[in-house]
Amino acid sequence: MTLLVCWVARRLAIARAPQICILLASVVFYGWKNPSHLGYLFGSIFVNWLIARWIGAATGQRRKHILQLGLVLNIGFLCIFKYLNFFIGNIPYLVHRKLLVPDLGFPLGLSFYTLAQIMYLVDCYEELLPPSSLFDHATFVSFFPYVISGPISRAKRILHQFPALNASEVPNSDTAARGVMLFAIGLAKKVVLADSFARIADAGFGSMRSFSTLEAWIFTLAFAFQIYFDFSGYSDMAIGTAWMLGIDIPLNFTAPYISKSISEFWQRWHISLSHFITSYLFTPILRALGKATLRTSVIAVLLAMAIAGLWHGPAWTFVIFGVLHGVALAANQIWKKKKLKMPDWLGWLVTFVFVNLTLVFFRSPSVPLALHMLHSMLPRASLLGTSALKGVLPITPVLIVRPVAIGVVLAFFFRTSQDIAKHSTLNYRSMVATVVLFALSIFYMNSTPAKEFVYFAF
Amino acid sequence: MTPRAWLAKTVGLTVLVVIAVAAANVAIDIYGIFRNPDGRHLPGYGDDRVAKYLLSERYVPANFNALIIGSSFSGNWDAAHIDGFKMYNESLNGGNIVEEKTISDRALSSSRIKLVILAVQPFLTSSHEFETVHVTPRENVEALGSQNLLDAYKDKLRAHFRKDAQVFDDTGTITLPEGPRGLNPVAARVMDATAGFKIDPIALQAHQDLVAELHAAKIPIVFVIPPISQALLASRASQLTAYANRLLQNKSASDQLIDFTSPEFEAFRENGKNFSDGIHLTKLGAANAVTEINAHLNSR
Repeated sequence: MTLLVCWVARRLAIARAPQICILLASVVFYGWKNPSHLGYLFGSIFVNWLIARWIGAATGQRRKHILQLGLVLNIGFLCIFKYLNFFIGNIPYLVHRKLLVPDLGFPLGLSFYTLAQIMYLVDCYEELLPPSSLFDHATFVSFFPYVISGPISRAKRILHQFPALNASEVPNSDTAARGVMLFAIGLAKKVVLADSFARIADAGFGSMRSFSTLEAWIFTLAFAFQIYFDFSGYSDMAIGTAWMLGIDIPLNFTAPYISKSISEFWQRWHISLSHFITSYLFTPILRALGKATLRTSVIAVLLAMAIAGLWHGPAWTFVIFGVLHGVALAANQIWKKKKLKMPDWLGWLVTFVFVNLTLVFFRSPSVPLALHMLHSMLPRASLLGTSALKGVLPITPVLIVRPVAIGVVLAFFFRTSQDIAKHSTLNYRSMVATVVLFALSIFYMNSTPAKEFVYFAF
Repeated sequence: MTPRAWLAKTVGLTVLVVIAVAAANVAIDIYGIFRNPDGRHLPGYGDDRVAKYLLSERYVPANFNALIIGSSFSGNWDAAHIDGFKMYNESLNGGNIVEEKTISDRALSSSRIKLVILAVQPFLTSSHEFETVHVTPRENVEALGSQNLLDAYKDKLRAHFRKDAQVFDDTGTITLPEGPRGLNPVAARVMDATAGFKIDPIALQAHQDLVAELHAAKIPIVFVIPPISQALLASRASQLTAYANRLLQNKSASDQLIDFTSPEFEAFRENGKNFSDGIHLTKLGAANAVTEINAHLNSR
C-alpha cells in the first residue's frame, strides 16, 4: 500500500512526497493496534529532536550537560514503562511489605526507538552528524520497518538517504526486487520455520513436567532455532521492506550458529544491538574505568552485557542471560590475550552449546523454571524417553517435522538470506523460488495462526 | 530479465498461484461451503472437528433436519437408519460438549433442524478443551488452502482404494473398531466413578446453554443415556443416576428420554455382542440401539 502511494505521489511530483508517504505510513502502522501509544512515540521524538537542537546550539560543558539530561530522560522513559514494575516488584523482598504496582502498559517498540534516539543524541554530541529537522527525525525514528523490533539503526546511516529518496523519480527497481526476495525469505523463515520450532519449544517450556534428557535438549534446541528464525526472519522482512522503499537499513544477523567463539557470535547475532553495546555501553564504561587493561575490559564487558540482558526485559532471567554472556565474552578476551588455541570444530561446539544453555534463561518465565529445564538436560536415569515429545510431533508432520529438519540444515549450512537476496541473479529461477516461498508462507499462515514475533515483547 | 520485469512477474505469479489454488478448492468444495450443497453427499475427510464444523455450515442444514449430538459412543449410531427424520450424526471421537456445541450451533442457526438427540454421558462433560483443533470461523478461510485441506484430499484419495480412510460417512456416522477390546486409558479415566463422575463446570455450562437454546428455538430434544455394558454399569449405577439427574435438571416436560441404563434395556446391556469395549457399540450394537431409538420415536 505504502509502495503504491509512494509511487503515485512521485508521479504527481509533490515535494518530498516519498518521505511524507513513509512518515504517514509509519504513523498508521504504529498506531494501528493501539493509537494511544502514538502519543508516547511523538513525545519521545519531539523531546529528543529538541534536545539534539540544544546540543547543536550549545558549547563547552553545557553540551555535555544537555546530553546527560537527554540520556536521563530517555533511560527514565524506558524505566517508567519497562522497569518500574520490576524494581517495585522486587522491593517487597527487601522490606517485606507489599507495594502497589501501577500498570502503565508497554508502548510497542519502546526499547528500540529509545536506543535509536540515545545513539542519535550521542552522535549529535560527538558532532558525527548535525541535528536534523523534526520532519527528518520523525521519519527516521518512526520508520515502520524497524520501529517495533529493529534493526536498531543509527541516524547517521538513515538520514543521509532521505535527499536521494526524495530526489529519485522512481525507486530503484533492482533494489526493490531484491527487497521483495528478502521479504519472501524472511516471511518463510518466520511462518514456516520459526513457528514450527515454536510449537516444539512451547510444549517443553510451557510445562513443569519432567522430561528425559533427550527431550530437554530437543526443547531447548527448538527454542534456539525458533528465536533465530523468528528474529532474523523479522529483520529480513524489515530490511526487505526498507529496500522496496529505497532505504538501506543495517544487517541484524549473519549465520550466528556457525560462530566459532562467543565474540564471533555477537558479531553475527542481533548485530545492531551488539553495535550499540560495543559503542554506547562497553566503550564509555571502559573509558570511565580509566586505563584500558584486561581487568577493566573484563569489568566493562560484564557490566555492558548485564545492562544488555536487562534491556531485553524486566526479569532476572534476562539479567542472568546477559551476565552469562558477559562472563563468556570476558573469558574469551582472556583466552585471546593468552593466545590459547582451540580447534574450529570444538570452538563451534562450545559456542553453540553455551548459547543454547543461556537461551534457556532467555525463554523461561522464571529462574526456577530455567533451572528445572537445565536440570532436565543433565544425563539422568531417563535419558532417551520421548513421551512428552510424542504429544507434539506426530500431529502434523508436514507442519512441524519437515520444517524443523530443513531449518536445522539452513541454519548451519546455507548462505545468509541477505547474501542470497543481494547476489542472486534476477532470473526465472529466483523468480520461481520467491513465488514458492510466498505461496508456502501463505499456505502455512492459512493453516495455523502465526505466532507473535518473540521480540515484540521487548 | 530486467529488475522491473522480475518484480512484475514475481508479484503477478504469486497472486495468480494463490488465486488458482483458492479457486480450485472452491470448485472442489469438499465441505459444501462455497456452493449450494443441497442434494450432495459429502463424507468427512481430514480432521473430524474441522470437517464437521464446516459441513455444519451449509451442507447439514441443506440436507438434514435432525442431529445426534454426542461423543464417540454415539458416533457409530447410523443416522441414515433413524426413521422419520433426515438425521446427521454430529458426534466426535473423544468430543466434549463444548466442541459439540461449537459445531452443532452452526447447523442449529439455520432453523431447519426439527429434532435433536442429545446424549447424556460423562465423557461429554468431563472436559472443555478442544481435542485437536480449536475450531473457529477461521476454518472457512482455511478451506481455501491449508494443511488440513491437503490432509482431507489425501484421505479422499486413499478412500478410493481403502474405505477406512474416510473419517465419517455422508450422514456423519463414524466407523469404530469392532473389538472386543478393553477401555482405552482416556475412557477408563472418565468412567472411573470412584468419587462420582467428574463434571467440568465450563462443559456443564455449555450443556445447559445448549439445552436452553434448543428450548428457546422450540426444537424437541430426545435425551439419550447411552448403553453401557451390564458389567460396567453394575459398579457405577448410582453414580450414573446422580450424573444423569444433574444433567437432566433442565429437561422440559416436552423433552423425551431414552435411558439405556434402565431395567427396560437390561437384555441389551447383557448382550456382549453389542459392545466392543463396554461403552462403545459394535456395528451390531449400534444397529440395535438405532432400532430401540426408532421404536421410541415411533411411539411418540
